[in-house]
Amino acid sequence: MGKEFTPLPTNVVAMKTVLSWLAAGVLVAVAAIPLGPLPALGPTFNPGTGVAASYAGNLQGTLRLPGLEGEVTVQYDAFGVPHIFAGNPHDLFFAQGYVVARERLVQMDVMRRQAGGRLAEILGPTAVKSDAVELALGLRPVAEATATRMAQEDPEIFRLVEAYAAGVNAWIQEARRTHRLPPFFRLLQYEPEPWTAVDTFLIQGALQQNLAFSIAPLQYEAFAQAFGQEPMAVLLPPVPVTARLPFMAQQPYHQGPFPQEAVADVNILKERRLDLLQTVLEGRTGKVGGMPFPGVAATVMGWVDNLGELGMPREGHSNNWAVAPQRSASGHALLAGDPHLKLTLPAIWFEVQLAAPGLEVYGVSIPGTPGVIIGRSAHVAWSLTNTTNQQVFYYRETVEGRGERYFHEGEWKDFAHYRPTIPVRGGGEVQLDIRWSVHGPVVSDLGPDYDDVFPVPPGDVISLAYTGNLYALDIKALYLLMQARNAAQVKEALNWWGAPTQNFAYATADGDIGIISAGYYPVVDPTKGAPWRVLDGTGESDWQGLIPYAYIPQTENPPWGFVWSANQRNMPADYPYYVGVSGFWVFGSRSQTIYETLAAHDRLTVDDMAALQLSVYNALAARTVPVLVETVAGSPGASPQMKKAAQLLQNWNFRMDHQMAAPALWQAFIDHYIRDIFGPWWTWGGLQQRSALELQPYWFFLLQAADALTYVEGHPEDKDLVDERIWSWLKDPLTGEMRSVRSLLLQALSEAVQEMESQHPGVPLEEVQWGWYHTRSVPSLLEAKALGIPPYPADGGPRVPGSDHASWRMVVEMPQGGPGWAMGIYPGGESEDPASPHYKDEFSLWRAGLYKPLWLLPEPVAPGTDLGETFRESAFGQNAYLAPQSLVQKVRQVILRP
Amino acid sequence: MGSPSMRSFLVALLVAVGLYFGWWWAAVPAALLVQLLGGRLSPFWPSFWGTLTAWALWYAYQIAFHRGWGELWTVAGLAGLPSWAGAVFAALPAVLVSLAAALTAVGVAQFFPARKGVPSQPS
Repeated sequence: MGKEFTPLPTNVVAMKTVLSWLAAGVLVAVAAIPLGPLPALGPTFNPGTGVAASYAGNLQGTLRLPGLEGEVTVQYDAFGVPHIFAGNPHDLFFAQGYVVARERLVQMDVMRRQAGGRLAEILGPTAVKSDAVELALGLRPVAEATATRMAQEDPEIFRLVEAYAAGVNAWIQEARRTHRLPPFFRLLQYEPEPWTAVDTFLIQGALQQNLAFSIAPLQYEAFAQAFGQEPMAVLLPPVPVTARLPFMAQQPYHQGPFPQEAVADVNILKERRLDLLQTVLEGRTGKVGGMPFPGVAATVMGWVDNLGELGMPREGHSNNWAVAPQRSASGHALLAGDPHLKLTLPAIWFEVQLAAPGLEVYGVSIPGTPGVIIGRSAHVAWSLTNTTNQQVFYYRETVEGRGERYFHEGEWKDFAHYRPTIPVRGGGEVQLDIRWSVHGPVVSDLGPDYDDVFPVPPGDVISLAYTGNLYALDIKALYLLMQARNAAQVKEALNWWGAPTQNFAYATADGDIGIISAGYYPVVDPTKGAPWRVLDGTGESDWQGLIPYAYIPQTENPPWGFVWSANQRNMPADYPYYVGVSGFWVFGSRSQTIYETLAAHDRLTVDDMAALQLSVYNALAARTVPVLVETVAGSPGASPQMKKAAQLLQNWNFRMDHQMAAPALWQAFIDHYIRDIFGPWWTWGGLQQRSALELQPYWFFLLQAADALTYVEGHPEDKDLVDERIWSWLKDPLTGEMRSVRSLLLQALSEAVQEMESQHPGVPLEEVQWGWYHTRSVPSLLEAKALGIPPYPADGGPRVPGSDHASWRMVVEMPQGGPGWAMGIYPGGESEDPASPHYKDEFSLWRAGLYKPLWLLPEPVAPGTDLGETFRESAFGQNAYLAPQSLVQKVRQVILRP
Repeated sequence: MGSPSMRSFLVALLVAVGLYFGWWWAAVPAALLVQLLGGRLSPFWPSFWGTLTAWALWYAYQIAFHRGWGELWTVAGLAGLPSWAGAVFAALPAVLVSLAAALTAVGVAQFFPARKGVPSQPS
């Protein structure tokens, strides 16, 4: 039975028509515009070009990539680590660029923008400050000048950098064509520009800045102005205040001989200077319009803020050591390394094997730069720690008139002007005008708004000279290092390393071990001013040259059979060059633990290496606590709570375990102790008003001074080893009262106990846990909360070797004549895509203190090969720290063709 | 408004233009609009639900083989959405897919109406 169709009245049809058009229009418009922090839903849900299509996907089968010269095989192991086999270096680095860009394009793009001062272009006004700092420091002009010079003077290396860039661009083009750019670009509504060699040097510059740049001299200048030159010099001697630190017993790791005088290599400095003043430095015009989405801008800026740690170093840092065959149980040389760069998802590291004729390495690289930085070949294994010598020197320029000229070497010279434009998303632009003298950029030109970054003395014109602004051939050094076959070639390769200075520990299949602290060490005359303060800019205090390569800190095959570094001062007291004062180096307790552990064993195993990398033994606490406990015991007025606290510390094994109470009490105590000793001085000096000058209990020069005072209190027989002027810091400048070490110890412990009781009322002291205070999280690189690993209670903490900061752990055994075995781990995964199974698949192993095998494949294996079997068959594979067999999967293979 | 063939042509034109400019979602309301303008209140006309179903199938394919859920979650995370809002956002395509499936079922039912049953005779 059919229905009868009754036409609607005309006015109803008209109304319906209008409403229909209106509804459709609203629907279309709403789907086309961003909704708050979200991108437009229409394009986002487009099946062909939207978010669902943006996954880069696993490489499969055979791919044709224009630009390759021959066929390249890429095999992925269980953790998504690419093993790249190419017929020549060009194709090898091309493929590396392509493979890395597939997994880390967002990271690479944000890093180059951050270093190049182009974040505001995509993020808006919130990023202007970051951009201004980077542009003022000159990262972009240095990168541009480096690329220009390398193209002319080192074309072979430059060709490799360009091959890497071409590989990155192959992926960018492919991703744009197939709508597979990561969602980040959709959210911010821009597409990545082609990668260039300049971008690689920008990332190199960012790494240099992270490891070599420091505002410590500006801070020390302010302290010296507040307290006087001599009192500050007492806190900042060239070597730590006390010589009774056990790791100093064998004169760190330099055996000399040294020159009688501080001879500078003048030619090398001239040769490595970039002609920045004559370079035409122009700003860039922005291309991105519109406003960013506030949510994303805020998350990205969270990350950028974390990058800008230019002040004195906090905790973290890195360890490495090598053991000679005569001290290892296997009779093979061993190498261990664990750098402690900031932990993020994705990680700063990208793991990869690179293989071409004459070059076969496995290790970790920095996305955006070719080669590997830490790794091993069949012949050499190496790992890095930061040397942290003074690499930035500040100068007070004498200017005349309107500030267009400065006085230098007896004449008035015109400043050069660097006037970059910062395009700001959402409209407008910011114009900078940074003067440059012969020393470098005038950072005080940024003005008072940047006092938290550069705390310059008011009214002064302050420039800086920085090793990062010299021509650095770090990529060439790594390229040669990756091909080195013995210790002599390692030494030859590292001659090319520039900035940042790094302690390269190495072990070879020949059984040689050593450390070379490669890089630039500016030579200044310390009699012409205190280089740790702001120097006079008229010429007398200029860099005279660089320390000749033969005299930089280095050692090879020391008789005791091991070498190590943990960011401690690496030169003996009689080293003839000024390389920085004690505040530039860490306290040394990690170094002490490593030294004592290696020295105590003569049959070291791979398990010993892993155990030491994971050790949470606190050597500083072990030095201090006995004095503290004795002080409490000798104090008749100590309260029951104080005695209970002392008992807790006395029974402690000095391990920073997260379930223990003593580490929490210790950490609270030491923080209060530093503040109690020095806090009145900072208040008296008016330093707390400026954020960059606020007292920080982790500053190493304060820890060293406090340690010296405490050590002598417990060892009066060693009093002569300490500069007696240090006791003047015990005076309270606010009251004029002279305080005793014992009263300060008791005061700090009392405050620590009270603090813990107030934070956890009703909880007995011994039931408090270190993990309530000390947590580890691995934030998303872009600081997106949902994409990071949330905080969890963690063992470790400041000043222990096996802290939870290790961004990569690696142990390598180098048998003679064989490729050897290696294991490693980092807290993340190869992909930056949170939806990828390789986003954080190494994290759980890292957290558990396990390692995975690192397969240096001599040639491609048959697809489907179970790599784990071959590894487990080796003696190395039996060690207690290796990941379970169940994680091993089969090899996936991809062929790249021209 | 015009004959069925004219309406179909108009729908096809709007869909093509929308897709050409990447505005796939404009095709759905456009198709709906044309049907409504034609005086048909039922939205279950093939040109409408066909468009939506095509989108749904394509999207489902991307979700299944390209980790689309994860990518949506990534967008929500990068945008800093709270968990509940991220879940709503990530669920939107599922809602649309469900709607498309329902419309498809109705449309199919319209094309292939069930035959009336014959009551059995009592024995």
